[in-house]
Amino acid sequence: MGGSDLFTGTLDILALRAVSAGPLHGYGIGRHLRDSSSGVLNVEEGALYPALHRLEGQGLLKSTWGRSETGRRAKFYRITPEGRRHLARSTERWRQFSGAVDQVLAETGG
Amino acid sequence: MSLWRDEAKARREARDEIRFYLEMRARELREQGMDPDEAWRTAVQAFGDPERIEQEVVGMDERARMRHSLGQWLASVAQDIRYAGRFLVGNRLFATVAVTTLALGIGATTAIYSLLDAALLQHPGVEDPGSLVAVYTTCRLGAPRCSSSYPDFIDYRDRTESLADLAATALFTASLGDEARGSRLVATEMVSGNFFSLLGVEPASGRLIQSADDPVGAGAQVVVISHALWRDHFGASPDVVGRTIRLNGSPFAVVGVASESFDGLTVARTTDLWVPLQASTTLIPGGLGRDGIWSERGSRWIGRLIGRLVPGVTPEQARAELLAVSDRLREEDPDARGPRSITLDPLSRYLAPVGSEEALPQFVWLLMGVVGMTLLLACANLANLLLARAATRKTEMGVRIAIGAGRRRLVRQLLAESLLLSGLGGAAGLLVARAVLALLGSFELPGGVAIGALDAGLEGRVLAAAAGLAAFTAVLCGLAPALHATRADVVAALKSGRAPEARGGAGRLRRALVATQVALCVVLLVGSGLFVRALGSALDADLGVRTEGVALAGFSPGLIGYSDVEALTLAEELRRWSLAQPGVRSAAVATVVPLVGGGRMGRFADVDGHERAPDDELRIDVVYVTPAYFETLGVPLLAGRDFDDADGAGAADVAVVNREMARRYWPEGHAVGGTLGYRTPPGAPPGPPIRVVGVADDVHWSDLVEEPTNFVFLPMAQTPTALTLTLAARTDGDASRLLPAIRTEARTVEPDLSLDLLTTMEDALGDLLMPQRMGALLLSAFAILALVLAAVGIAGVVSYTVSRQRRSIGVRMALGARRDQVVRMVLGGMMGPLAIGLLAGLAAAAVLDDALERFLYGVSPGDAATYVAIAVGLAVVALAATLLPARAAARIDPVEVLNAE
Repeated sequence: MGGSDLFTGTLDILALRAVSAGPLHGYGIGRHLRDSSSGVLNVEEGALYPALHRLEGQGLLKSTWGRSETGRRAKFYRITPEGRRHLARSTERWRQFSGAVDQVLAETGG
Repeated sequence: MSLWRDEAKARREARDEIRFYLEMRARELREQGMDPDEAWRTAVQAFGDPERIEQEVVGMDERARMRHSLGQWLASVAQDIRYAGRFLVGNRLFATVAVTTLALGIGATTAIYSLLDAALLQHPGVEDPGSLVAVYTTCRLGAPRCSSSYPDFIDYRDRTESLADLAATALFTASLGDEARGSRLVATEMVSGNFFSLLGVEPASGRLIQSADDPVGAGAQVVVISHALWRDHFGASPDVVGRTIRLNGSPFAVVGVASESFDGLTVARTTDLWVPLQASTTLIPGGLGRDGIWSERGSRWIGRLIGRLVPGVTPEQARAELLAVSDRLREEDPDARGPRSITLDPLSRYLAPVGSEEALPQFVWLLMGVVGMTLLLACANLANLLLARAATRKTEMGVRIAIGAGRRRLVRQLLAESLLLSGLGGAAGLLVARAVLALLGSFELPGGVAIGALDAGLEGRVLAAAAGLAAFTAVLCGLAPALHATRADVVAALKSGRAPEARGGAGRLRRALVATQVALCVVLLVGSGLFVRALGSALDADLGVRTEGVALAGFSPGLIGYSDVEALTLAEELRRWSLAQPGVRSAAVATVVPLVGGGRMGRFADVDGHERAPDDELRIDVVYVTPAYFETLGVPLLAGRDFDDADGAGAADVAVVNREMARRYWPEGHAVGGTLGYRTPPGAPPGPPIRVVGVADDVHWSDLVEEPTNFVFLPMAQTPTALTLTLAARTDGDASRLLPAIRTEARTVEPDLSLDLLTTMEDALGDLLMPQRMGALLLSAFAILALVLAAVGIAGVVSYTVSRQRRSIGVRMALGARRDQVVRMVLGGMMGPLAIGLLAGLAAAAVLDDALERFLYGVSPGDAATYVAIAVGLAVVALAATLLPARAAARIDPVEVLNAE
């Protein structure tokens, strides 16, 4: 899967992280991504949807249709226990990786 | 739900989801102060192409859906297998019985199928075998496949248009001389020059025989050897081409080695080497050469004609054309030919050995039918076992239905159990098959096809067939019980807390299975009974000879360069030596001996005073014999005298004819004193008259069911021959004791002489009876297996019924029923299926035993004694199998049963 693709992997982690606090619809997750990454990952907002559906297919997310805050029909995503484990593992790996990168950058960049 | 509907729904939802995002995003932008149109445009722009994203989302969903359903399916299959495995481990006795039953059924069927595959389904290694045909003409008594004469071959070849080409081949055993290793006998085919090009065979090295090697009257002394002979005899030597070898003493140059894939056209008979047809005059000293083999239509020595059909021509059209040619030949020269018919055999399969074209496939299919029936019987038994299991598992099934398992799911699980059983049975069956093939290795099929030489193995098609059989049995045995066990009424049964009494479906099904088993068993028993009786009557049969105490030794002095006169001296020497041995009462040498055959010489003849009927060729088989031939072989002389030492060269030509010939041409009984002569071409002087001095009884020459034909015996001293000779010696005691002495003596007299036959006449008869013996042995083995299976099946059904009816039996006994009444009640329940099975089996056997007729010597099909014995015997076994569990019913204690409620 997208583990080797930095961007995909990152999007997955961020999406999982967004719903880890509670169910959100796609727009909510998108806003969360924009807010929390300060626009760094602001590539193509629509790319979120294939990612969400893939995560659902992998059993990391589960979706249900409900009502949004505006009363409109919307699809809500919640994290599954497996998704939570995956998030914990990925976060750990990401930390190790970014820590290593930080270290390298610190040494060379001085 | 259909995939299409799933996809439409996914698309709708994806569109809705994206629309919601864009609306929300635009609203956010509006709140930041953009005007509505610009907000919408900006939202869409930031999002990307909504159509494309929608497409990606739908694709994701579809992949997920497929992965999900596959995973679910695999998981449920794994669960089925786990359950099935757990069930079998928990019911070891049941599993063992079931697997053993299946292993025997599948194993035997697989073994016979591999035999069938090797004997009947393989094709020779030639180009486009589908357009090749073997051509035969009819002969004596309408036998469909006889040899052809050389002039016939030429006319068939040149006068037909439906055949692109026609080749001739004659089989012959030659002696391959080798200074280093002595001589050995090799299977030689004398072939016309177009043989290899017609077949499209390639050489492995050198070249093959060509038309240039085979000009009329001047055949080149060249030889092509088989790949196997090159490997085994010449040690795969690379320089074998160009070497000269000696065949029957004459030098032949090796010009090539045939391709490894071509080993001849006959099943289980490999050809060692090929020589040009025209070289046969050199190859066979004397022998064939003197009988005008190139000119006389009566000299039918070419065993087979092989034709290649013109594309688009059917074998039937070719046959019609050949028949027309044959009729024209008869019109042109009515003296030379009787009315003939033509037989064509396709070469899309290996040809059966000459004479067994019908018997071989019939016998193999018969075996196949027998094992197939045994397999069905095993299936019926397994179905019965599974039904009984199903009954005891009703509670389990009820619970699972109650907690929501679908019926389909349960049926699948039960089928998984029978699949696992049959898989195990199939695997064990391969071991059984291997054992059966090893056991059969020393037997021969009709036509002398040695099973060991068939190369019947357990690979490819055969393994696929075994796997197919296993799956087939699983469904056949498992489906009905599975459907039954999961019927809706089990839930009701569960509620009542008690399994229902056996009635309706299960009971009927089980009784039907018993009837089927009994019927199959009857068929197998009748079949084996007929075979055993036929074997017995064949052993007791009047074959026209007395087999006990006769030793036989065959030798071919012509093959090592003896002239005819030298051969006669050698024969006389061996005969005199035999007579001097202790216990030997008489001895003779002849070209043909009953039951073992030999080199028959066919001629056309005329009988003085007899007007030949238009449909009578008056063809005779000539046998050259020394004095005491009839006495030694125990052939009664019905009239006249035997030859004696006075009937030699220079004395008047004399003959003994067989009873059939005497009956046909001297109907008033005056054969002795009559004269006959060889027919000569019109205009040629008539042959010298031969006076009949005796009439001998008819004998069986090579087959137990053959009809008598015209035979004429001539004194060997008047017509010496170096062809195949057989020494026969009658002893007072055990003939086999004489055999080593004969071998030693033959070597003393002529060190180069190899004996191509050394046996007793009783053993020769045994070989002749091989198919009958094999049939009797196999059928008996399967019939006994069937009987045991049927008995187990019946006992199983009865004890099951009794266990289901414990309550009602208990009530009856409480109400005063006596024990014998209970037993009778249980017995009565079984009488129906037993009687139906018995009658159906007898009827089926009566239909089938017509197919056995060919193999049944001396037993009329529908042999009443066999049928009655089988019916009575089976009834006794069936009753015993019923009675044992029925007595258990009588021991039911009513108090105990009723208290248990």
